[in-house]
Amino acid sequence: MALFIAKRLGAAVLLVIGTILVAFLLTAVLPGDAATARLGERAAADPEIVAAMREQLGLDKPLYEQFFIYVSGVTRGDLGDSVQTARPVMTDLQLFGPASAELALAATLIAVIIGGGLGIVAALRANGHLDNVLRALSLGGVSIPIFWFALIATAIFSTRLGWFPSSGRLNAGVVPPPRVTGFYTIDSLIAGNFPLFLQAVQHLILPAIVLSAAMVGLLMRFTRASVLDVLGQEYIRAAEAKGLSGRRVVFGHVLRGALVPVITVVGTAFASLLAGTVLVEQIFAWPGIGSYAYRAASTLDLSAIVGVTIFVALIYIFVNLVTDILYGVIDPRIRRA
Amino acid sequence: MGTLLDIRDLHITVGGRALVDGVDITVEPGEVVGLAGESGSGKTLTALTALGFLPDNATTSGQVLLDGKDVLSLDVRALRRLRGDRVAMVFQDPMTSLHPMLTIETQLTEHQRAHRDLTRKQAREHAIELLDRVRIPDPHLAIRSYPHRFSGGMRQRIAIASALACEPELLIADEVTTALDVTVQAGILNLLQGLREELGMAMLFITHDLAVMNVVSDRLYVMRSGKVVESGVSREVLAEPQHEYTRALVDALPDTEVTR
Amino acid sequence: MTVTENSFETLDPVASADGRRWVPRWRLPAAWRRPLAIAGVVIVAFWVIVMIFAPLLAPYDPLAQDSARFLPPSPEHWFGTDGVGRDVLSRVIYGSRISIPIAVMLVLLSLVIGATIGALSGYFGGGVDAVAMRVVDLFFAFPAIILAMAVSAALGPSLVNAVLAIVVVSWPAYARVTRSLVIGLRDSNFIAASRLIGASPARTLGRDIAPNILGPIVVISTLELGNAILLLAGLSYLGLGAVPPTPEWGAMVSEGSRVFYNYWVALFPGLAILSIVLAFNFIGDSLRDALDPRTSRAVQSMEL
Repeated sequence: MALFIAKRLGAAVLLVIGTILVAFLLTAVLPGDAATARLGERAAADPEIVAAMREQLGLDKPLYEQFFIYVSGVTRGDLGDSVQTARPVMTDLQLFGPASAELALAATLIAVIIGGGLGIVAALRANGHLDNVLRALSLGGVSIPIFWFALIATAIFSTRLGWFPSSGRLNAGVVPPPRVTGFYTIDSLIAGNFPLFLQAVQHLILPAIVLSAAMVGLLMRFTRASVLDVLGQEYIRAAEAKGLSGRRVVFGHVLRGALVPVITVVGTAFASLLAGTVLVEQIFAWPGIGSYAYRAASTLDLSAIVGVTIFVALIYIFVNLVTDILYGVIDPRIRRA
Repeated sequence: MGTLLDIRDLHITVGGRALVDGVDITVEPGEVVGLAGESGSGKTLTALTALGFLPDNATTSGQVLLDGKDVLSLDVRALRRLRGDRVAMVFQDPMTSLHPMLTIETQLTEHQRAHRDLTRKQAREHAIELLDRVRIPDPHLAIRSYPHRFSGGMRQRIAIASALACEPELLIADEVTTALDVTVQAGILNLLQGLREELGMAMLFITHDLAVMNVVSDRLYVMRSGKVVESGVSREVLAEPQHEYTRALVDALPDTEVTR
Repeated sequence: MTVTENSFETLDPVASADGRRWVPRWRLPAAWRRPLAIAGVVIVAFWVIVMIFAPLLAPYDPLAQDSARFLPPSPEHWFGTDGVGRDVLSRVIYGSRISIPIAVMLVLLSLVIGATIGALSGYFGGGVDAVAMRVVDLFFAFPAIILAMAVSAALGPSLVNAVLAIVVVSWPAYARVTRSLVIGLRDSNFIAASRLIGASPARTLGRDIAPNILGPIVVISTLELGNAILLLAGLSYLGLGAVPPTPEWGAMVSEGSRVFYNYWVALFPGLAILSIVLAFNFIGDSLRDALDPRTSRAVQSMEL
């Protein structure tokens, strides 16, 4: 097991270095200069000032040297400074990371419950009318433009019905709970502040539902396929022949067999939530990595871009690790491999 | 107790095709009845009705009487009570009939606890006894293991143990040796013979292999295209087949097999 | 856990002129019988007609700012007017002339680049394959949206640059799937036969492999058309793609999002996006069902 994790971490390190490389190449290839980006217009017109700034930023050194400097910085936990926030990127990530994680996890939870649940129902009623309706619904989930869905949902549930707030993680002016995980929901529970917890949940629901749309659609489809696959297996017939109750067969036998492919999908879909996060965080004024990434990309804030990229790559690797471990837990045949 | 299983004039039609076309079969308590025929003869379908299983979208007529009560008229809950308890089944392919992700213990005890009022410990002890009876080595270790640890022959023994767990009156064995190596087959057959003597359990033994049939069963039915073409005491039928189909099947066997 | 195993052993040889062509086993008619697929085709046909006949169908010039601002839907303006007095209906109609052709171009470009690299990589294997796949892996690890945003921002927000950005981000997925399809075929008997008689790689790829991977490629492309439209709209929404006054649907939703009490400005363009993406997905989904299940797994792995 230790060897397994070590190998994975090794691959992870290589991947991170590779992503930094790509980011660096990008910044070399794309037009736009970090030095001029930092200076005001008048300063940027003065070549001496620009040269001084470049020297300060280390941009006058050859590219490979910059690369090594950066990588060694990363190993020390120094990701450089962000241009737009004038703070170390590491600080920014620590500030914004948990907000997005909370959102992504909430969306995943919703997707698993609704998508998974409906997928099972669709499989048990395969090829009937309900199944067709659910299929159309699942395709709808992956087809809906997320930014538009966010607007519609806000207009109906926030503006019209007033059930949920439409921006921020908490009401304006409210002090967040003392930071333990960075998740306002968990932290407020830890602090014993129940009204604050409710408020955090209220703010979380709408953006999480919107973000989960595509994942719900995907999960519905894959769960259905996986459950159908299992239903055709002989061991389910054998379970029925033993006279076990319907509930026992579905939950103990069918679901158990169907879980592995579903976990794969959840893992990959989670990692690709980032695109949706960028849009959702913009609309709901959610101070997370998504909106940070948008600002970074659109202002060509290179350290921030690379920082976010590394962050996301690491999450991807972590999610892969977790799913691999889960496989081993669920399917004993995989453990021996 | 009267006839244990009495299938009367069973018809099963799917999509216009008669898969079972007027079949009458009886099994007395403690008897071993063989059901022979090629694939597509309808033998498995017929046997499955004893458990109340019917194919999707099938039109059925006739009766399947288990100890006098028509199984086909029972609701799902009543069917679930007798499945695994009074009637149990062993499937053909032991590589697929055991759940790959559940322990042997779970698979041997879940129906025990569903049908009887047993504690976990009691069911577990019984499961170990069963494994011993089907001659699985080191049952205490086996019980904690998963199916993939065992060979095909051992898995079939485990499947048999599972079927025996609630002491059924009727055991349906559907081609239980077909998926196994020839050398392993003999072991399974011996096991079944032994169990039959020990438990006095009735068996409906399905196979396409007449040689096996002769060894195991008292009476047999030969099926073809959904109908029973011949029936009688195994030894007699195989020594002097009346119907041409049966004759063809017997002739296909190597000479030494039948004359015992 | 990768889902790349697939095999073409289930292909049936179909009697063809030279007797050596194997055709994948999927029945086109069956796909069309499904209600969702039919709905999809109808919707796509509708939009194609709208796209072609836009000048005839649109009541106003999409760029003309003649009417009053923010008029709600009325008989004169079915979809109302936007923030500078342009007729929303006309803009939605003309928007189809942007979204659809661009999406098609996007998919074609990504496909050509990705499939070529993937096919060569899969066919030749060895060093070429190793290098190509490492590059693809790298692209996959790099978050697509960030790359797309960065490229777009660097080159300046415009439709062309958005297209470029999306192609850069999309081709790796095609490469991976094509490679796995080709690998599945490469070891099959009739390819081996073709190589034995001395056919050059170009011939083998072109005559034997290409027709057989066409089916799954078509399915993937159809599904990707929907994604392409969503990506394009998303980038435009963020201000990194089409810019006003271009009547691109995503950009229109963006304009409308600032004033969504005038719901019509954002509602109708969004509905347009939804309808056509849904249509492509309905069609693609039914096509995927019609595929041999083993091939369809390679297709499914693409969407993750």
